[in-house]
Amino acid sequence: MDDRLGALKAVLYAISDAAVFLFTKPLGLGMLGAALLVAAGTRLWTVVSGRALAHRAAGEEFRIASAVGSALREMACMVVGTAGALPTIVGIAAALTLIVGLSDATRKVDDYIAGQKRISELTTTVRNLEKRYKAVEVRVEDLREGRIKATLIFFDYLDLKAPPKTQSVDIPGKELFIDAIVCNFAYSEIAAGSSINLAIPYKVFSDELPESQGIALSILDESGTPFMYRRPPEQIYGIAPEAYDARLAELVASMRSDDAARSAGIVRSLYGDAVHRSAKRGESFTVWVEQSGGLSIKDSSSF
Amino acid sequence: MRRSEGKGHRNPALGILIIVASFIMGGYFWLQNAERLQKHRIDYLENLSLRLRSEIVPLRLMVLSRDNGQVRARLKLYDLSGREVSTIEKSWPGAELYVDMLLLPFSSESGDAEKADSWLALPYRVFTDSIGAASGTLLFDAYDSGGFPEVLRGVAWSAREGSAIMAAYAKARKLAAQGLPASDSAEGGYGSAVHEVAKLAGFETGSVYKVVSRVKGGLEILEE
Repeated sequence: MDDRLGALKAVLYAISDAAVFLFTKPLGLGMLGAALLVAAGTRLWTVVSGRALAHRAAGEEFRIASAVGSALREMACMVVGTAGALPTIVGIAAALTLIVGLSDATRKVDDYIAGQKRISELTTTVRNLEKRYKAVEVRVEDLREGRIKATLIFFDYLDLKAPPKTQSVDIPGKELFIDAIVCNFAYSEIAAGSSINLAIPYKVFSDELPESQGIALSILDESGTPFMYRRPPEQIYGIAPEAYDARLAELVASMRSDDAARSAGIVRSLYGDAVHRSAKRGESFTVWVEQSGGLSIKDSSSF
Repeated sequence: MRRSEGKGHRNPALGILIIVASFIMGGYFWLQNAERLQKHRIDYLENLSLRLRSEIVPLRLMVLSRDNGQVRARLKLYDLSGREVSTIEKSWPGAELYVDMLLLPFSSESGDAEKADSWLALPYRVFTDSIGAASGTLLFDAYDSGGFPEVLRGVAWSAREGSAIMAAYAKARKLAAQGLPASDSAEGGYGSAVHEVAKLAGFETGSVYKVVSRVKGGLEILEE
């Protein structure tokens, strides 16, 4: 059915394009005019040469005045003939106008349908790029004598009813640094929903405590999967659960061998990112993994 | 009498033709309008998609050497038009280099004044895994231009935007000089110290890496 419709449209577009070219474009009008002139010239030549032959057969001289007269007579006949064929010409013009209009409308409808498809694709792309998800929430429990006491909450998306996994830290300093390995996938992968950017928080340190002396985070479950990446299939937006598992496996592999993922062309960047904020007693903030790239911190109360 | 009856009687074909023509014209104008709206929507989504992928490079770095537990690196700072603003070359004790950026929410003149629509990324300090951030090298002075951060030149800021930037920059510098977190210079501000991970993605000596700032506040390190 689609093939037949496509063939019909092709014929319609061809007739329409030809009509538009011949009757609206200077080159087309020129070609049409030239063809008519050639046809009229041929006709006149035929008539005049016929008359000349008849005169010669009758032994009469064929003068220029006779030739002009014959030509003018024939031209008048052509005008009269054209006037007689006017209803037919008007009918053809109307039919061509109808075909052009129908073709234009069909094209517009096709363009509109294509536009709707493009909007749908772009909406999915933008939605995938605008996504973010929580990596860790930080609650500053206390801040005294130059020490920060905080609770880190890791989200287990696989079992939302289970109490969140937490870890308490007590370190010297004024700023809390949450250090994570960040893996940003190629935009084509993110936009298509084939991958999601990943971040694995692995250490906490402060402005006074160097990273090498920081506190390691226990964010892995018994199988070695970070809590925030354990998800039921229905919560893995825009990516098939199998693909999600595969990408997670790729991340683990890429953590073992950076080159493996990069050579596969799926990883845009792999690096460490220690996001930080000054610790204020009673305040909490959330570290988010942005699908447009990198990590961000937002006030927990803002969401 | 007949004439008057004849006058009142109209041709039904003409009426149908007018109705059909009206529907066709209405449909055509609806389609025209729908196409116009559709084009606006596509342009908006395409621009948004491009904006989400857009990148600003405020800093490039190259590790020059690693000797005796020291990392020597050269950092180059750039303004928003890509013009080089400053160069810093220094050695730091440690194995992994951290480039700390200050990210401050910003409301542009054209956007909603109540809501931040972008982020200002200011190079903050450099430290390593062996030295605490508080002992790192502050970068604020390296791009000071009469109280305006040179790294944010290269675009036409309005007077209000320029004043807001200068105020936030002055506050951040003051806090940093006092040994206090510069992220407190604006509500919602935070720091992001992007770094190499020695066992996973270390900076190769002699290679150039760029720090990329994304529109939603995220930072990345990409090899050039």
